[in-house]
Amino acid sequence: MKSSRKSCPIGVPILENNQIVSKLTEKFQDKVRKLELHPEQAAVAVESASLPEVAQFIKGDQDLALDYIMSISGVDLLDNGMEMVYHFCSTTQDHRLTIKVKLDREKPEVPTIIEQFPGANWYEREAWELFGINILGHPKLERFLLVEDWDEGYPMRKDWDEGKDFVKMPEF
Amino acid sequence: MGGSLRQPGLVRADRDGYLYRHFSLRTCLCLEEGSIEVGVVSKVPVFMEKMPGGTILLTQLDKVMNWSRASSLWYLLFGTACCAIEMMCTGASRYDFDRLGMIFRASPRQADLMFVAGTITHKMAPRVKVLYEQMSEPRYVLAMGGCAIRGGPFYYDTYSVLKGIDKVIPVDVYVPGCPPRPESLMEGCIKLMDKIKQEKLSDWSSDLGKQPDSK
Repeated sequence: MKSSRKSCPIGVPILENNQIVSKLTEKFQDKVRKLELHPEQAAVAVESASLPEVAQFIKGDQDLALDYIMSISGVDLLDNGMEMVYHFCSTTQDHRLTIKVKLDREKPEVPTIIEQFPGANWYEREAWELFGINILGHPKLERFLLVEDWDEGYPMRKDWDEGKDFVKMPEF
Repeated sequence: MGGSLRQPGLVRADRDGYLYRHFSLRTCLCLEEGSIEVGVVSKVPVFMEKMPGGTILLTQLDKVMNWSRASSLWYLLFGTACCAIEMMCTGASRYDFDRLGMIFRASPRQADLMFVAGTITHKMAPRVKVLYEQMSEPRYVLAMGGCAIRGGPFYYDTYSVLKGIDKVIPVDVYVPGCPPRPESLMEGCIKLMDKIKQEKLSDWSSDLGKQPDSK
């Protein structure tokens, strides 16, 4: 499965997906759970409280070296709550990791990982702004995508239809 | 200009029975040479209406000014989405806006025409309005494409897109399409030129002219 990928330019051995996941599950025991998303994708579910700890580990660990945050997305699952999805990759080794954090829809909260990954700053602000996910410990939760005086809820939530300029698609 | 051009024009009666002198364009321009009407010409258009017989010149000045405005529409170098690509194409060599006397101008202070080319979001709308207000009058706006006219494909189920630029600034010509082809855009510009040629200077001489919608 890895054969199609090029080897790492500096010759560091590349971990297989299951090795990445097993490394995390051994380290964090029941705080991390393996997810089966796609055969080529290493993915784990992490408890909300232990996210900064996991982020610190995957960045600092010599084998993992996941030092780059590619994206952070909020996901609204309606009855199944909400999720934050983090995509990490390594700039020195050719592997990636997806981390999902399950959130309560009534009170979505997740700790910030800015200390570990400063690039997470705007992604987390975006999730706060558009999904209403409270980012605990974020130094600057201010709007930058919506207008400054926005007071019409969180437009990326699936049940959002409250804006004064909002026109719902008619049902055919 | 030689003295031979200083000839009185024809005297005609219009439909209302008033007499007015019909000057040719060249005769009008002759007034620059030391004649008493120079002072009148320099205060066009505000005082022109108040001068006895001023309407004679005003009628001709309408034509001159409208002709010059319509023939040299400098449009603002400004676009927000895919329509701007079509606008660039219209300005490039194949369709060649230059042959209509139209050129890009990157400064709103020296532009006459604004193409609203593309989707305008609520966040962007105040900035567009500022650009419009920085343009000196007379200024014209052409809404290009479905997004600028009515929100386009983003009309339904969206939180971010303004449903028509005419909610913020007045629009002279609407060019439909998604995006409009360069031919459509040029047609819209020619319509605008026709509109400019129908204008009266007296419309611009008072504060009752076009004003942006206050919102």
